[in-house]
Amino acid sequence: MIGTDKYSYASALRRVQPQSKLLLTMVSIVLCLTLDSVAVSLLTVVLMAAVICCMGKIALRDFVHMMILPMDFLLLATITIFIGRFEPDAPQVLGIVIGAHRYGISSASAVMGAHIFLRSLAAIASVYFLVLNTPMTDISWALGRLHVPPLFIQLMELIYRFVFVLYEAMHRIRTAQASRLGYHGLARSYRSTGTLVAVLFARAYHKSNRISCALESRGYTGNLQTLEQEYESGARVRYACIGITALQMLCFAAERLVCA
Amino acid sequence: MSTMMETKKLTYRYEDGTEALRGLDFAAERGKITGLLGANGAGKSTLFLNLNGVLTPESGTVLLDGEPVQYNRKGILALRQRVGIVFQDPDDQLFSADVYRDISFGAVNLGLPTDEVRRRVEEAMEQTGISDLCDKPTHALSYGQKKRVAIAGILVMRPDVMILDEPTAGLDPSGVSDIMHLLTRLRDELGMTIVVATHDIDIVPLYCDQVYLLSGGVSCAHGTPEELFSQPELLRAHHLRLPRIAHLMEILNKKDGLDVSPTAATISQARTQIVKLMKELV
Repeated sequence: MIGTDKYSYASALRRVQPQSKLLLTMVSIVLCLTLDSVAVSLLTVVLMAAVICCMGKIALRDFVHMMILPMDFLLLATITIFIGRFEPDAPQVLGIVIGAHRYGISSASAVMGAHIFLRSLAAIASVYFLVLNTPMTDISWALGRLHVPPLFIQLMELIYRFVFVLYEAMHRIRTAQASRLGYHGLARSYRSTGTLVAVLFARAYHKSNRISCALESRGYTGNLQTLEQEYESGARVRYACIGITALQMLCFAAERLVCA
Repeated sequence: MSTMMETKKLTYRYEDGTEALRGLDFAAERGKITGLLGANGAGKSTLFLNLNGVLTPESGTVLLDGEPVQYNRKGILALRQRVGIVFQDPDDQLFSADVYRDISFGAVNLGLPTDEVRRRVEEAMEQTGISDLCDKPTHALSYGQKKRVAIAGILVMRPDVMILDEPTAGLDPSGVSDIMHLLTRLRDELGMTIVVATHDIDIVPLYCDQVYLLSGGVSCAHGTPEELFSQPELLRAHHLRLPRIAHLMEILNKKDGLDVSPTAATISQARTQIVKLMKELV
């Protein structure tokens, strides 16, 4: 298993109805983005860690590890907001004068950067609740229930399934090439990679023919309808969603009172 | 004994002009395992796709239970319900990353009520011994496990005939005997008619009731495994061989002049022959 599959199939919430998990994630993201408050964002990260670890029974260490993954990207994206060019007399936290302007972090840019950074962090934590507790197939099933067009859902499911098949095929071809020194030297590596892509494309094409034969032989008539295994009730997750929303609103109100 | 599935003078030509079947006569008996032997390109896979209506023959007829197949929408759908194919590579057949949902596909296509689909999925998982695989995604299964899931996906349709293309290819020895025992159980308990294409000639005397030898799109010999293995020259002419045990018995009989039957192809048959010989000596 690669990626988040390892966690989602081991999660204690694995068999819980996926719509409830989707709801919790969506409500939390919308709140974090619209309230735009540092306190709410920080609280959301803590709350998500709590539900992921307590309800999903996923180790805190794994959650922290997952949170660190997008950190490079987040820092890179917000660094341009933190640092800017200002008039020499602008309120400044840190900076140097080069020519007629000051370059550095102003108090306004620092606040804005922190806001965006924490808001993103809170949104990521919320998405992790869905991703670490719900297998991909359940997410697409839930989207289908929410009237996302079936063609889109079916493509999504087929692509997800065959990404792994193609990935395995690619791995085998690459190993076969490497075992014959196909990746010695830059020029040869380029050539081998080109061949790999061409072969993979041809294989995918042939495979799609065989898959359509196999689907047809099982009575496929243009619709990939299947029946899902019965889910557990999502009541627990919905209650958690209500609780989290209440705490977020409370936190927002408190922050407003303190600031005012 | 009656015939469940039959083809008469079946011909099929691919778009590129390759004549894959040239007047093939084939019959699978009800409640028996019929083996299909043949070198690569003999027409086994083309025959299978014709038997299930994925391909429409150029000429000749396919008969199911004595009735010729109707090549209209309804007839084809009925045919596909009654004749299931398990393809050689399970990755060609399993299209969902969720094991349960993949197995349910065929039953949902039959338009069955939800409860009935659930009952059939559970039953098929039990029959193939994969009930505990439900909590894994398809891409985390081993090759043998995928093969079982593919078989379960056919069993939910409750077909009369199950066709398997190379069911033992790529499996380890215990995987081979597991799959073949599953097939004999389906034959004995459900009276299912099973057709197996294979290159693994050693499993033929153990599990097959009837064998067909295919070559160049026609059937060049058929009969019980004993009947077929009594003509080793014919097998060799078609790039096949005797089962190892039968080969040993043939050598003992022809080169060493021992009084053993050269058609004894399984360990138990050979043992009977040898014990008999030993007793005569004492």
